[in-house]
Amino acid sequence: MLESTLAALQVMFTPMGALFLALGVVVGLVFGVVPGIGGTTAIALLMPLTFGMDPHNAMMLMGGIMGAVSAGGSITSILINTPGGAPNAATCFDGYPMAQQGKAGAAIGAAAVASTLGGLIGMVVLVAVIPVLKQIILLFGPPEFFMLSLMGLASVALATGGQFLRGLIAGGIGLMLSFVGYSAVSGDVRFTLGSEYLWDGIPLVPALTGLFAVTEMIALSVAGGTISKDLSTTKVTGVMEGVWACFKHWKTLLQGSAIGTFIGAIPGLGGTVAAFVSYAAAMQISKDPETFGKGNIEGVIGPEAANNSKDGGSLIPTLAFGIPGSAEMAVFLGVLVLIGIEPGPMLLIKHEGVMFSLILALSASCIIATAITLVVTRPLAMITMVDVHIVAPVVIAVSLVGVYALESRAGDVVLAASFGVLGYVMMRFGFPRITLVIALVLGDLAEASYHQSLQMSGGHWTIFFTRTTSLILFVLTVGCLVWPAVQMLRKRRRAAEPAT
Amino acid sequence: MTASVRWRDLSVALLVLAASIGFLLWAKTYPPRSGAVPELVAWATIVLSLIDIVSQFETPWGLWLRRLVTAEKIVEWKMEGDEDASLGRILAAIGWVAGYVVMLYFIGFLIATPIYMFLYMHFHGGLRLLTNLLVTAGTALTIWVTFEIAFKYPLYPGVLLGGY
Repeated sequence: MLESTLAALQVMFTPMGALFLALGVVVGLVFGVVPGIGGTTAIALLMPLTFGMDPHNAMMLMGGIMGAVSAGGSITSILINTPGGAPNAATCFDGYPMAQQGKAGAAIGAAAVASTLGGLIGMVVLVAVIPVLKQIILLFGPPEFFMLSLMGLASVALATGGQFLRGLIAGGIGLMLSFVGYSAVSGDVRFTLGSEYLWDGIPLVPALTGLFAVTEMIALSVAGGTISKDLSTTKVTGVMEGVWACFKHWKTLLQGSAIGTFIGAIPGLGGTVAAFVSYAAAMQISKDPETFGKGNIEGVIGPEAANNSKDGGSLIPTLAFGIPGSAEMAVFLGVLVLIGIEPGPMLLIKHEGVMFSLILALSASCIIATAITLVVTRPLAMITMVDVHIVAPVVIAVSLVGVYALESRAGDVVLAASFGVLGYVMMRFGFPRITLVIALVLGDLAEASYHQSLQMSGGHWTIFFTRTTSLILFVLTVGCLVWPAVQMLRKRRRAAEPAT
Repeated sequence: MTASVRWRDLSVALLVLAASIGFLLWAKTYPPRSGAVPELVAWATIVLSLIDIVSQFETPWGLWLRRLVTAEKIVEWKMEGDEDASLGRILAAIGWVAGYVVMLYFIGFLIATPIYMFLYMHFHGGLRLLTNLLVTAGTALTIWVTFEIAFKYPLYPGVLLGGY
């Protein structure tokens, strides 16, 4: 592990490594600042550029983006009450009232430092659990991987809240799409409509670029206008006051980081849930809970620490089992495919060095993004004044050129555009894209594991329930599926109870 | 949406059901080893779609199912104005992407990209001519320099100009 860390450090200090890290940080900050775009789109947009790139440099670029996005998103939450991404929404509750009271600088200082320290704590936890994870991975066989795939899908659908049923349906559609092309089990060509282009299946990178970059641009294009209207009245002073507040409220910071890391490790529960849970928890331990929502700096520190520490947590299922914990991680798996690394259970064992480059880049990005944020807050916030009709055609053109450049196939461009439209239709009708993407990624693993398990058992499906780990995963999957019903019953019981 | 049925959601649920049944029938045309898991997934999606369909009716069963399948919704930030967008605006936004792809097929990236960007920003975005020209030229130039000059990577020229 020490060897991998040192190798990653060496890469980071090469001119190319530093350049890609810096590029990632800048792109992450800019995409984090612009509401409605976020890290997933940024990774999807730059993903084609990583084709053929040295894997370590590609990790520098991706780590740079992932670590910087949340720092960018907090700026607009505080200055204009418009979160850069959904995970930054909880920061608005107290960040914006602080800006209205002339304490925008303190709020930004606190958000930046909480975000950095939270991110670093998340990374430390990830590095600490890697040796244990390696042992656990080796205990998993085909039945466990099949059950794990089902559990990943069910837990992600559950995390979509009110869209639970449609999340499961989107997962079903994603699985159907993953069956297109050669069957890894039988070698038959399936569901291709006679198109040779589809023999290798739905190409992941164009599909992900379409579902995130193109879809988001269609949504921006429909919404129109500029994202923010006026920044002229906002003053940014007193940044150091916010920086010190993070150390003064260290319990809130640590609690937020712990919540973020834990929630991040559960597939589907991303930064949004982590930030809101952390906000509520910060209120509970605060000596001054009644000022929450009116400009309490602890209401900024808690969610921002959780928001960035979730990255370390969400890398745990992604690196250990190839189960993407979030949309961002699903797109990241596409990057791995492009640089010649097969996502899956052996990722951490076969490519430990590359993964440490990512961990190091993420940690460095947290620090660099914070430094940039503290220096150029106002110019960064001005990005939100750009007309969306400039952003949309630029991103669409660049992403489609990038998709074509991967394999010089015009079909990839058509596929990316088609998935862009599919993604927008899904968005309008309440079908979460995340479950479709995760199913698309997991389809092959699930099908191959299913057949391997049956081969192992001589065709007896009981193999899924006679092995302890597989049974535990099955129970957890069923738990995810019945949880909404349990919630409904609990609500009814509570409503039926007479007021005391 | 009427008082008795949520038509908008019902029509989508029916479409998904039809697609799932179609996929099931298609999966049955393959040998068991190739079609078993696809069939299983199709059946699961059919059952889920049926639940979705029933939950769109304002009947006791429909309401019960709707409550059953919706946990407390996670706060999700949405861009202002998007929810109320007219069908025309949505079709226009999708149409611009489709138009760009069609142009790419015929005249390739280097010609289609500036044309698409200029027309989009002029007609859909209503931007000033100078801003439009600067952004269009800047993006087209960046793409050309990055791919054709720096990477020596030939971009698709379009079927009319020698592509296939």
